[in-house]
Amino acid sequence: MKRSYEILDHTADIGLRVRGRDLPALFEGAAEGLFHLILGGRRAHGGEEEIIEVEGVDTTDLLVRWLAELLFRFDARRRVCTGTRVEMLSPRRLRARVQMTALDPARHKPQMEIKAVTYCGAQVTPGPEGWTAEVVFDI
Amino acid sequence: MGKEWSGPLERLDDTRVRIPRAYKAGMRAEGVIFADERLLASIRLDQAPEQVANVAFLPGIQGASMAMPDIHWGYGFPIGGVAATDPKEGGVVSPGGVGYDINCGVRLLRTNLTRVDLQDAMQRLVGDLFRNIPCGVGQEGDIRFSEAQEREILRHGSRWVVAQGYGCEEDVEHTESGGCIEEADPDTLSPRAIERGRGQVGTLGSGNHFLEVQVVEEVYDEQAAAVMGLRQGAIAVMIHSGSRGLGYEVCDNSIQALRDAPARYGIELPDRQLVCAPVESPEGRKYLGAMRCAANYAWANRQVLTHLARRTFERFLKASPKALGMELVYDVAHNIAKIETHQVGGRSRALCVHRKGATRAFPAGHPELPARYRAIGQPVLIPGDMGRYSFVLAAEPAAMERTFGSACHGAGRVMSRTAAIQLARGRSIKKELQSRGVFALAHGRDGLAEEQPDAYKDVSAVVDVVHRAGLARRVCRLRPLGVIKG
Repeated sequence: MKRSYEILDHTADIGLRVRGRDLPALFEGAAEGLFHLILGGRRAHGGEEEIIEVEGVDTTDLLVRWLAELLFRFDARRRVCTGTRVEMLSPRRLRARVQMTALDPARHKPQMEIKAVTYCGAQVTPGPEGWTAEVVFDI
Repeated sequence: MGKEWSGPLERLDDTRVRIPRAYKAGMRAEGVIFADERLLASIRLDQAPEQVANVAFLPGIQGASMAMPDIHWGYGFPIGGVAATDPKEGGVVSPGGVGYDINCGVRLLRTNLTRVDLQDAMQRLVGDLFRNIPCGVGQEGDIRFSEAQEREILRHGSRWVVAQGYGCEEDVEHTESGGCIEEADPDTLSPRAIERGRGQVGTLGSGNHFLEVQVVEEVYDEQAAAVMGLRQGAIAVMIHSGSRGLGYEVCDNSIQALRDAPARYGIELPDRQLVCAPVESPEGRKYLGAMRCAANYAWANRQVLTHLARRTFERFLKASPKALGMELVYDVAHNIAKIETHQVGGRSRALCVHRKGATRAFPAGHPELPARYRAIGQPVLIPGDMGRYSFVLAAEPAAMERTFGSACHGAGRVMSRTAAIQLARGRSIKKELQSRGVFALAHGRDGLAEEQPDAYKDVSAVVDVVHRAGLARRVCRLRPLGVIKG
């Protein structure tokens, strides 16, 4: 399957450019891209369903908060995201069902420590073929 | 990001250039970058000088918005940025002036060992360190603290972990600020920050964090080196780590909380990543209370890492702590904001000094220095890359006059991680390092490739400017022999 994201290169940090036919697809693709970076391209599978609800002041803020929430669950709760389904998305609110499995360092072999999702150059923009987002991570 | 900077840089002398106040309407001070012509060529390659100019917009800024010679692009502030604000003049504190990894820092342990003692054992010793010291993404240690204990760490820093048996009183004396900033307030932290901090005390982390076994390769200042317990041919251990997930969460939460503060206080900023609040405002006090918790956590983290390193050496060499003499030379923070007393316009003033990728450098005679360093100046620890060298400097008086007691913090990357991995394709960085006499172990598949020496500037060029500018003088150069990375 063609990936909906590409990795943006930067001297000291790293970012993602994500494309989606609509905003839910964009947010789902961004989550996939985040865990692609963390796991060094490996796919994780299975797990249990968790509900994530986040709020933001606009769509860009919402994207940053969504990724920050997934990162928090990985770093603090050792949960690896294996799939997402955005159920509800308004400019200021998101609700998603996510599949999360317990981190097993020996099996998942995480490669990259992402410290934070930044607002640096973060943007969500509409285009003729859907939506594009860019986000930079502090690593 | 990525675009070459074309703004004005006026040369002041052979180690400094100036960005004049007239460059941008709204600058409250000029910008000053410590760099010679050689470094300036690479400094212009990104927008870091623009960030120096942007920092000059901060209310209450004193002197100049400064950057050390290892300046490169960061979020809001450049890495290598130094800015002091006066709270009495509406001076602000900005989380962007500290960064996500609050109190990321470096410590150096000296030993009684020489290179000969570890001649044939380095590979096995590095293996033991790699097993005993949790490093890499998602790695946890055996040492666990309860939430109540974590709160003690947040309040009391390395003092508390030393009281629990993870070190000695001298470790605390030889840590910047005694390993604890007062007025840290755990109640200002979100439950999420506390949760993210659980289980990460005594973990090295990943990225550019490391533990290195090094040898003192060259001594430039025999007297200062002797005071620090360093001599040519001796083994030392350098640790680079920070406040882990707790610090990242504190910064993230603070940027959220301060988002509307500039508008509330009528502060106009050229970059929203410079979000800030007056030091003497509820928002500013809350950030400082939380940042101090993260700073204390980082000192405790490096202290527990020190304990794990000492225990590994003792068991590996079957030697007593006394025989090994693994004493802490010093521990410095290089991402922090602190209230310090400085002379401005002939008056003594309490300023909020931001150091983001910059090291405190207090010269001989400064009252905050421990007795041992009162006569030679504070040790300034500058890690380089894992193939070449790191430096120990001693702070000089000009640092107080020119940079609010600050110096550089490291080398700085010149190559993205992706580019570094591509450059390493078909090569074994591990074997290349080994041929240079460095045994390196890393968890990540690409960890060594990303951190290969060529991905970094030559730190000696950075140190050279700091030495010539009179901020800190060279004491000795250390070469890595063994490296563990996340």
